[in-house]
Amino acid sequence: MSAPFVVQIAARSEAPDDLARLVALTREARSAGSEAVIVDDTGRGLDASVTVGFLAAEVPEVRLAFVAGTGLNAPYNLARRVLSLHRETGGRAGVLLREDGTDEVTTRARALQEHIGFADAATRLSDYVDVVAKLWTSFPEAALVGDQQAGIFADADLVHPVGHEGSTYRVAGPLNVPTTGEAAPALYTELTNAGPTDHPEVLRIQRGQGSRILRRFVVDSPGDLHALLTDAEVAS
Amino acid sequence: MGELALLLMTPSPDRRRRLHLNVNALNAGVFGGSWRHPDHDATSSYSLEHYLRIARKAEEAKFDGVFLADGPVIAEDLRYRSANSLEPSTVLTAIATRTERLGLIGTFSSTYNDPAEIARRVLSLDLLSGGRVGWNVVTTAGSGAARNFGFEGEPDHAGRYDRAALVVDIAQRLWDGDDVDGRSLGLPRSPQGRPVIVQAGGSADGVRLAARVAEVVFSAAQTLDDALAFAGRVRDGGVGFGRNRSDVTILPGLSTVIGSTEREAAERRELLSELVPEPYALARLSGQLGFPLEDLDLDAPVPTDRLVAPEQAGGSQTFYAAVLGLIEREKPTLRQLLRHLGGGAGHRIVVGTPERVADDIEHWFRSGAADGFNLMPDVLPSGLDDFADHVVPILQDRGLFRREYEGETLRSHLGETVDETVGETALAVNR
Repeated sequence: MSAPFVVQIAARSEAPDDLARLVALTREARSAGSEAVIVDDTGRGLDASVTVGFLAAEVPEVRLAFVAGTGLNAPYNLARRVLSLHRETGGRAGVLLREDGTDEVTTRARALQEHIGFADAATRLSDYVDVVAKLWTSFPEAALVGDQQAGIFADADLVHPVGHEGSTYRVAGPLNVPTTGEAAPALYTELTNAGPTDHPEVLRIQRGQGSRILRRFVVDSPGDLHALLTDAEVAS
Repeated sequence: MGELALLLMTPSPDRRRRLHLNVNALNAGVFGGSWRHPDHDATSSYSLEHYLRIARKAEEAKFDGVFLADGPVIAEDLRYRSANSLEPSTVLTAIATRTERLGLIGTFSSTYNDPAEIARRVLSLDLLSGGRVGWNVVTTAGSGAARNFGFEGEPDHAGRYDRAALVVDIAQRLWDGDDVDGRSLGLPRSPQGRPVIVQAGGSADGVRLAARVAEVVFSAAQTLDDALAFAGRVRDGGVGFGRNRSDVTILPGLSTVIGSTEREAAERRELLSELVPEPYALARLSGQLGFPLEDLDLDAPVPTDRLVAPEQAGGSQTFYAAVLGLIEREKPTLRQLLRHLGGGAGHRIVVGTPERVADDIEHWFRSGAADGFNLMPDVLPSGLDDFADHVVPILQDRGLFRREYEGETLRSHLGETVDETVGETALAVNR
C-alpha cells in the first residue's frame, strides 16, 4: 500500500471506553502509515476539535485533523483554533472543511451589508479556504522577537492584515496566533460534498503546490483498517 | 475568653466559608513589562508548555481553577508586550489531559460565536475533564475584533449584553438536553450539572448580566468599599432575578508582587515599573483616558476636565471607572499614574511579603468584599510559584484555604454539592 491515505474516525460517546477505542484506532492508523487521522463531526455529540486535542495528548507523533462545518464556524475562529492546536501539538494539526451553510456570526454581519450577494456552495467553500489560508500566514513566527533588552516583543512589520473581501467572507486579520516552525496545518476538503454517510476521497489542499487526492478509510472498530487496506491492495 | 466561648464562636468546618482562588494565566504576567523580567523566558507564553506548567502548579496548590482571558483579535501593542494568543478551548483540553482536579475556566465571546457551537464545545470539554469547566461569558468590544467577522464596527454595548444573556440561556437549555430551535447537542448531562457560568464585566449592563446568570464574577475593585458596593449590587440584582445572595461567588482580580522581605518586594515592583516599554504605557493610558498624551507634561496632574463620564467612555468601562477612582483619590501626575498602573490590567496590586499578601486576602475575604480572588501574578510562572509556595501555606494554616480538594468538579470546589442520584434535576446547591 503505497498510495497516501487518511483514516477517518468518529466518537460515539464521551465514555472512557469509547475514548479508549478512539485512541486504539488512532494508534492503528499511525502504525499503518496513515497520513493523518481525521475526527468526524456532524454537529452533534463530542466536539471533534476537543477530541483531537485529547488524542494529540494521548498518541504522540500522529497527525490529527477535525471535521469542521462552515455552517457552525466563522473563519477567524476556526483558523485560530486549528493554528492553536498546530502550535500546541508541534505541528500535527489540521482541519477537514465541510461546506454546510454560512455560520451565524457571518450571517449577522452580512445582514447589515445588503450589497453582498449570495454565492453558491462551491464558491463559498473556496472563499472560506482562501481566507483560512491567508490567516494562517498573517503572523509569522519570525515576528516573535522577544528582545528583552530593547523592549521589543514583536516585529510588527512582519505581521500583516489579510483584508480579505470575498464572495461571502470579509475578514480583516491578522490572526493573533503565530505560525509554527513547521508547515502550515493540513487543510482538507471532500471531493464531493456527499456528507458523512458516503466516504468519498478527500483532497489535501496545498497552496502554491497544487492539491493532492487522498484515499479515505472510515473505520469504526480496531481491525477494520487492516481489512480495508488488504482489500484495497487486492483491488489495485 | 474561655475555651468554650472560642469553640462556640468557631464555625464548624463544613459550614465555614472557604476562600476561592483562581490563577489568571495572563500570558507573561499582568504587567506591561512582565515578559522582560529576568525570571521569564521572553516568548514562552506563546507555547502550550507555559500554560501546562502554570496549571500543574495551581493544582498542586489546590486552586479552584485556572482562568484564561481571551479575545479574537491581535493586540495593537504587540510590538511592546506579549498578549493572549492560543485559543482557550485548545489549551484547556491539553490541561484537562494532564490534571485531575483543577477547574478549567475559559473565556469565549458571546458576541462572535455561534451559541450552539460554543455550548457544545464547552460541554464536550466539561465531559472530557469530568465536570471541571467554567465559561467566562464575555461580550467583545472594539472595531478590530468586529472586522475579523465581517462587521464594520463594534455592536453597541447594550445590544452586546442582551445577546450575551440570550446566548447563555440557549447554552444552558442545550446543556440540559433540551432542543433549541431544532438543534440539540446529543451529549449527556455534565457531571457537575452544568458548566459554571463566569462573568467579568463591571459596567451597568455587565452587572445586570452578572446578577442574572453569573455563578462566579471576576470583578475589578481598587478599594474594599468599592468591592463591597459592587458585591452588594450584584447580589441585590440577583435577588431581583429570584436568586439567593449566596448564589454568586465574587472574585476580584488581584495582582501580586511578592518578596521574601518588604524591601525585596518593593524592588521587584520597581523593576517591573522600569521594564514597561514607555511607548506602550503612554499609548495604553491615552486609550484608557480617552485623550492623547503626547503634548502633555507628564509631571503635571492629570487634567481632570478632559475626562468623560464612564458611560460615555469607549472600550472597557470597568477599567475606566477604576482609573477614574484612582485619579479622584490620589490626584496623581500622569507619570505617577503610569507607574501606578504599571502597564497592568487595571486590577488592584498588592506588594509585599507572603504574610502581607495573606493579611490583605484575609481582610478582604472576612469583610465580605471578596469570596476569593482571580490572581494575576506579576510574572508567570515565577509569581505564581511564589504565591503557591509561600502564601498558600499561610492561608491554609489560618484555616481559610483548602489543604485537599473535597470533590472532583469545579462546582464542588466552589462549595456546591451536586447530587448525582436525583438524575435530571441533579443540581442541589448547598453552601
